[in-house]
Amino acid sequence: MIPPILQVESYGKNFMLHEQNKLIPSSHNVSFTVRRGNLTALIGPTGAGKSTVLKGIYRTYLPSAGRILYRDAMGHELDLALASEHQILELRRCEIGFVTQFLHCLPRQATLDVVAQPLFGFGVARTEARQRAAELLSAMKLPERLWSVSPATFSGGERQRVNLARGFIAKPRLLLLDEPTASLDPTTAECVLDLIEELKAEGTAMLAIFHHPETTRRLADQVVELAPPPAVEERLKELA
Amino acid sequence: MNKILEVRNLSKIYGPGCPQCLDSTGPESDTNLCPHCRSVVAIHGVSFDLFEGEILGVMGESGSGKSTVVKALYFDQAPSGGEAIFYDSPANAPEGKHDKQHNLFALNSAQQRWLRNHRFGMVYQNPNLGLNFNISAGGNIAERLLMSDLMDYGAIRERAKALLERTEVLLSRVDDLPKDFSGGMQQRVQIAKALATQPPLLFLDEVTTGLDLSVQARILDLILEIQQELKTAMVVVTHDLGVIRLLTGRAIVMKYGRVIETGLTDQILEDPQHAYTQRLVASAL
Repeated sequence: MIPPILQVESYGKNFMLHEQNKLIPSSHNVSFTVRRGNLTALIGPTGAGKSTVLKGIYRTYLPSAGRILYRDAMGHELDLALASEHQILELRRCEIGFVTQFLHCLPRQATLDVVAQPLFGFGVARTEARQRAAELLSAMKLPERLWSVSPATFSGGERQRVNLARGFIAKPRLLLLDEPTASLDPTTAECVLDLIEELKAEGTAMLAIFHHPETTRRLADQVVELAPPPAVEERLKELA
Repeated sequence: MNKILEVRNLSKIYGPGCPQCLDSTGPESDTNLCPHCRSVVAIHGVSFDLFEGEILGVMGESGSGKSTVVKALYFDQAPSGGEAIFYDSPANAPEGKHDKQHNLFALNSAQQRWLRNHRFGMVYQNPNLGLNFNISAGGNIAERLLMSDLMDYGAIRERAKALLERTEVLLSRVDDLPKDFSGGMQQRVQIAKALATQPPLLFLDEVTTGLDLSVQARILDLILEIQQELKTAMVVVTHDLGVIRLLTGRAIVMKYGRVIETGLTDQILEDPQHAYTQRLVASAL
């Protein structure tokens, strides 16, 4: 059997807030795998640390415990929790994508260029990259009149599509999705789900958090249920 | 990816210095002024690596020593200690004259000047430092091209025009004095001048501080476009967390002359580890 692309073992994340001298547990003892062409969904109540897991894998958060074993395109395995900053930046450029609920982009940049950005990073010619961006935006039904302006003034749903298109365009090996359809109307959400299925069929491994249980049922190959971490006091008792 | 700059234990002390200086200053002591000898420990023990085409942020409040770091690397101020190695691309080193690897603070002043004129660029917060206000915008760029051994008048003029056009300075103003320009325009001329020799390494010291927000946005945009086009490695010094977020991939946080935290930029902004960084990020608008 082909080894998984991602294997998370006993991942944990606590935040130390120095100002209040408090330790806030966010994720606790999370283990799962993600395979090529499969989608693993994280479910659980608010506060179960679902987003914290995604951010730990992308290294926006520094993991507090556990291992995050990633197998790269060359077949090498590395622990993302311990990888160097340059290794992480290189993986983000070439292999791992993340679609969050927020869109950070440059002030004046046209939507087409925002979406094409990851391809520019690969050295794809500008016209070709923009062409691919245009295809994705039209598949997501983003009106063409918006393509040449900056997403700064877009609605939540429009921004989300820009964000998704940017995440899809480079066809990453591993794609992290944090509520990708949360602010979309049902018809647009349907288009996005089709694109996710397409990408999955092409081999992208995905780890996702979905707002609607029916989306999870439709797309997920594995479901991982997370529970809120025990409070710090209980953890200490547990450890004693 | 290749390393272009390696900085180890960079240090700069203003004043006589004494054996207690280092223990009595820094973030723990909440000062950079040595109480025993009144020396200012502007920076101490600053180390980092910079890779080709990478943008590194140096963040911190006024007095944290962040500007001193780039001033030392650009040879504006000699450091008191430490080492910096610049790895030039071998293709760019003139035959027999220069190694591709330069130990910056061991070079003589002529060699340092050569690197400054040919391989490094600097954009200062204050355009007065980067531009000669007594000669035209085009003249400022020509000056740098002359220093880098381009001698043909026509070629220099064409190149200056192309650079100003690239940085969106109106070509009708090529022959005007920079002192008659707006602040944003002066920064553009400074950027054009710094880029004249297509340096692989560029230092930017608070380049958008004090500019209108809309002007700031356009300057940041320009810097990123240039970085993508020319793959210039940059060290960006700023106290502005927005600039750090938009421009840099990695960042170091300084306080009272010491590096207190380094990491991926999004990690520093969303999961800061040090108490000071947490306060800094939490207080951002």
